[in-house]
Amino acid sequence: MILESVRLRDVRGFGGAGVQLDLHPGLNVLSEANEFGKSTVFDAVRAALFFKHTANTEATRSLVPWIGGVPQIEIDMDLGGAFDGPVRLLRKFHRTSGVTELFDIRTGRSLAVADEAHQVLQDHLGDKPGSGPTGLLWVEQGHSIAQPDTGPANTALLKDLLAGEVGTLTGGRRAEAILAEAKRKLGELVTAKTQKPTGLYREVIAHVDTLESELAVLVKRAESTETARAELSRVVAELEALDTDSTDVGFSKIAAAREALRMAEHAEAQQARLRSERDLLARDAETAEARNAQFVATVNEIAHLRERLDMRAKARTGLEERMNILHKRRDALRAEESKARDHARGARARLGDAQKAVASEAARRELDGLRDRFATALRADAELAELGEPKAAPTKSEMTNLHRLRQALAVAEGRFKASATRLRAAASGFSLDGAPLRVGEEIAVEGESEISWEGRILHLAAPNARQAGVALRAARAGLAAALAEVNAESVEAAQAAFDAADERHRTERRLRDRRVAHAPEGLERLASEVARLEGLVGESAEPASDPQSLADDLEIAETRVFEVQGELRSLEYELSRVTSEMARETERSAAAEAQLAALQSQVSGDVETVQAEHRSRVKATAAALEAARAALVNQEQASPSLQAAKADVERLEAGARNRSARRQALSERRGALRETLRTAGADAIGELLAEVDGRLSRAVARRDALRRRADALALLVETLESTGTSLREQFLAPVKARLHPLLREVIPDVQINFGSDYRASGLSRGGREEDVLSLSGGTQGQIAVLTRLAFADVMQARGRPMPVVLDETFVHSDHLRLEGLFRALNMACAGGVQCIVMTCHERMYRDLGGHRVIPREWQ
Amino acid sequence: MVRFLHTADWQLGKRYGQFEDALAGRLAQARVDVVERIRETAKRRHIGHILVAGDVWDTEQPSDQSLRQPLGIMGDEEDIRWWLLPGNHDPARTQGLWSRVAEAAPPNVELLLDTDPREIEPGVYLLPAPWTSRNPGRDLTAHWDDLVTPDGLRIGIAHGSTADFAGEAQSSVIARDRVNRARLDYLALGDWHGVVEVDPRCWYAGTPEPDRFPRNAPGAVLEVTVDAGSLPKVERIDVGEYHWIRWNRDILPGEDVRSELEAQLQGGAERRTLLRAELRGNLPRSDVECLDALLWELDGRLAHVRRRGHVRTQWSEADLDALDLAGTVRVSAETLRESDDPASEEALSLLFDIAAEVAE
Repeated sequence: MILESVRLRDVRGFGGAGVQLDLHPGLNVLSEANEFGKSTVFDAVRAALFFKHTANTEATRSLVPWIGGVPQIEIDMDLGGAFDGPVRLLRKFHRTSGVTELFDIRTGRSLAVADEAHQVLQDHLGDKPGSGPTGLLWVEQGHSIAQPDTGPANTALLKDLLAGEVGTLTGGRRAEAILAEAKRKLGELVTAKTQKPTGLYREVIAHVDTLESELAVLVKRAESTETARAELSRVVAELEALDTDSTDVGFSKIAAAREALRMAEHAEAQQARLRSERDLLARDAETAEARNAQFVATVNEIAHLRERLDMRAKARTGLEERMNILHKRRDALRAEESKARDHARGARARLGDAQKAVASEAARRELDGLRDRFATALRADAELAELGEPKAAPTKSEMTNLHRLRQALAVAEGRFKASATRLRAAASGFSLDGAPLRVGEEIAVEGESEISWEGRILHLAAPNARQAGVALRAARAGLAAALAEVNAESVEAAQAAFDAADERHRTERRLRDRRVAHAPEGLERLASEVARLEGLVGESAEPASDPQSLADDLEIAETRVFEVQGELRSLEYELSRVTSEMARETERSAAAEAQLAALQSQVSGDVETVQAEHRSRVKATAAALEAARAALVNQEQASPSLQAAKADVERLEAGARNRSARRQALSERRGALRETLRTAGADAIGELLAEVDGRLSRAVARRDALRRRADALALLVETLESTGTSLREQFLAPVKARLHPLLREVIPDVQINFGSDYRASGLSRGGREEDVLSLSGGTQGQIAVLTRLAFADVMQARGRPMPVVLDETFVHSDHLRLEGLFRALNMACAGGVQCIVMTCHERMYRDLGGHRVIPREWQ
Repeated sequence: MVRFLHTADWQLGKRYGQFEDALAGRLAQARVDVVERIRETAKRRHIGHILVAGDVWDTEQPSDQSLRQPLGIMGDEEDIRWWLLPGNHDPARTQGLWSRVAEAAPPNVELLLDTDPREIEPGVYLLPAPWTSRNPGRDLTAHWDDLVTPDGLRIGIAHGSTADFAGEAQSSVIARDRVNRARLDYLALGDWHGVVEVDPRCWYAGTPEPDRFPRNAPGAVLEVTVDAGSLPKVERIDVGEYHWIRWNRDILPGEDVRSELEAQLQGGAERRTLLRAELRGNLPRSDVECLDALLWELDGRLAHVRRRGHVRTQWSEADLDALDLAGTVRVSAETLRESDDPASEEALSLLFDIAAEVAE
């Protein structure tokens, strides 16, 4: 469709004179001031193209002027298609007398009226405002920066147009509907995100799991039944075997064993008798043997005793000889002892005398020493007494203080001499402080004084001298006080007193030390010791021989006494021992003789005869015992074993008891197993097993069918989506091809991306993706214009031209972008696109070029 | 001469879990009801003996109901003696099923739990070969060769496959010439669910009430008349209630299978007919739709329809054109048609179905 002219009458502000806009096929610019009615033109054209003449909608009612009237619109246009030339659309909007009619402009022939005319418009333009190519490419004022309306209807139409599939409008819609339905059906089976089973599919899977669990339980129960049956077979077989063993055979075995036991017990009694006889015979044999042995022993003992008595007699003789020798030796030793004692006693007396003489000599020598010490000590003591009592004298510290005070006095005197003013009257007539000075007399002046001479007075001030004088006097007073304290007239006198006292003290100490050194025990004790020694010295005997040699003699004599005494004690002990031995031998001999007499009394008669009798008795009893033993062995060998017989009986009886107990246990177990199997049979596990197995097969088949269906739906969805994507790219290729040069004029180095809904979804710039909605309003508007121009260009090429109407679309564009848009508009229009630009900014669009639309009255 | 009914493989107590509950119940009940029809057949034909050659029960642990109801039916006609042989499904194991049967069996029911010959009528000896375990691993009839019976008729009753027609290795294969080697006048066999003549004197009676989609001819009992010196006379008597039809077919494009299938359905009440349609083919979409429609229709008419096999749809350009001439849907359909993905065929069918739903 290409608009050629638009005429309005009685439409809003356009009154009865109306308005007429003549349009060119290319770029048209309608630049009028505000309130001219540009939007009215837009709304009127849209209403004329899409609303029935009888429509009573807000869109049509709004066209009526406020003073009333029937809005009338004429549009001359080239519809293309079946129309070979320009047509005129006449529209009058009135609820009852509205008009829709199409004319052939060249012939004035009416082509279609009313609903037929409306249908023609629908076939070319779509069935309602905002849809179809007009909805896509026309932009109302105030919506210029919005994206193109690409709702499903427009998208489908666009796809049809771009793919050249005019007439298959419903194809695209069906694909989307089919895809949506396939997704819905798939969503009933699996979740969209994780593809996990859901809904019926999930229920069937759960049902399969449940049946598998039930089947497993039943199989287990069936297996346990089989186990019970196998055990029952074993139990029954064992019971049957036990029953066989328990019959006559078992009882006859026990009876035979018991008879064997009875026989064994009888044989055992016989053996006991034989054993008793054997034991009696054994005892007889032992007795005979013992008597024989005792007789032999007695005979041997008698002989032995006799030999021993002889030996003892010899021993007593030897002992007696020994005793005699010992007695003689003892007497000799006793004599020798007495002699040695006497010798020792004499030696000891001589030694005592000699020792006393030696002691007297030693006392004398000690007495001399003591007397010297005593004399010296007495002299020292006398000298101490002569020293008398010590005199008073200054102490050492007092002397130190005196020397210090005297030194301070010398210093004060020096200072006074140095600071005092010395006056010496060279002539008479001078007086000092009223006292006349003698000629040549030197006076030290301290403090303030007045010298007068012949009525003249000289005031003299010496403050330092006065202070030195004060100090000097204080030093003198201090020294005088210290001397008075030690009761001395001068320091030298005090020093002399101190020195004298010190000398006396040292002398006293020396005398005391000497007295102590010579009489440390004290004078009294020393005097008594001297007296004692003098007593000792007075008792001393004559000097004797050498004490050492005497001591040696004494030691020799005493040693001899000791040796003799030791030998005598040994001899006494030996004599005692021999005497005791003699007594014991005598006693033993007596006992042996008594024993011999007793033994001899036992052996009466002929020894040989008696011994032969004993031997004969031993042989006889041994033979009888051997015979009894042989008889017992024969009996034992011939008799059955009582122990074995008892063991057999016990074993067989125990076996019988065990079999009985085992039979009882098995019978109980058989009953329990039968009950188990009976219960299992009554539970019909076999039937249930088969039924659940069948149900499981059915559920598995159902599950598999749903799985196949889910797979098929997933494949269908995937195929539809991938095909749609592929075709969209294919459809958009020509749009992109036309968009690229236009875009380069406005926003260089970018690429527009389209979404699944054919919207311009994003912008690629410098390898970076930007959402179109994040762009500025100006850029969004520019992209909107450029994509519409590209779409319109494609439609133009497909033989379905549509005008692009832009109402104040560029108000947000900067100067450079605006120039680019102007170039893009001119490029698109040069390619055949009709474009109608409406604006109130005349200056802004001055450089746009194109055909300037001049509104004029309806001709 | 002796006359008896030869039957086997009742498999009482069999559950049909693979079917919906209501049908499963009816099928299980039919297995009990057939005992009654056998009894009535014997009564009607004045036959005194019914030989059941094994697998009387489907499992060793049937429910009391499954066990007692058939015994009750047998006991209702005292003049008829039932000779029941344990088979591989219900072997006579210690303290097993047959202990329960022995407690509940009426006097006219004879249990063949051992191999001792029974003189069922004067001069007529029945040689049983019962199963006493699930897997005996030997020919249970082998001892018959040396088994001596007094002069008279020797009739064997056994359960198991014979060597020459068992498709698989069997645990207890019966020698095919046993009937001759054991000098039998007739050998009543069980295990094979269809009626099969192994030898003029050796037959499988099959199950009287079918329980699966058969490849042979189940649903009958055999009336056998044995006379010395001549071959036995064997007559098939149909007693089954449900018809199980196995319909295996390779279908060609344009072929009309409806009439053929309708012919298969003849001879039985449709509401007691179960169909297993194992179909294969590569058909145009229109044929597939017709076939689907037919099976949907039968699903309503019959007791059960089970579809197996695989019929591929030949998707023509016209089919795809009907879907769409171009665009996403058309291209997707072409993509699926050419795909090797195992799910692609169903996906394409779903595309058509959903397209139809969306258009509505």
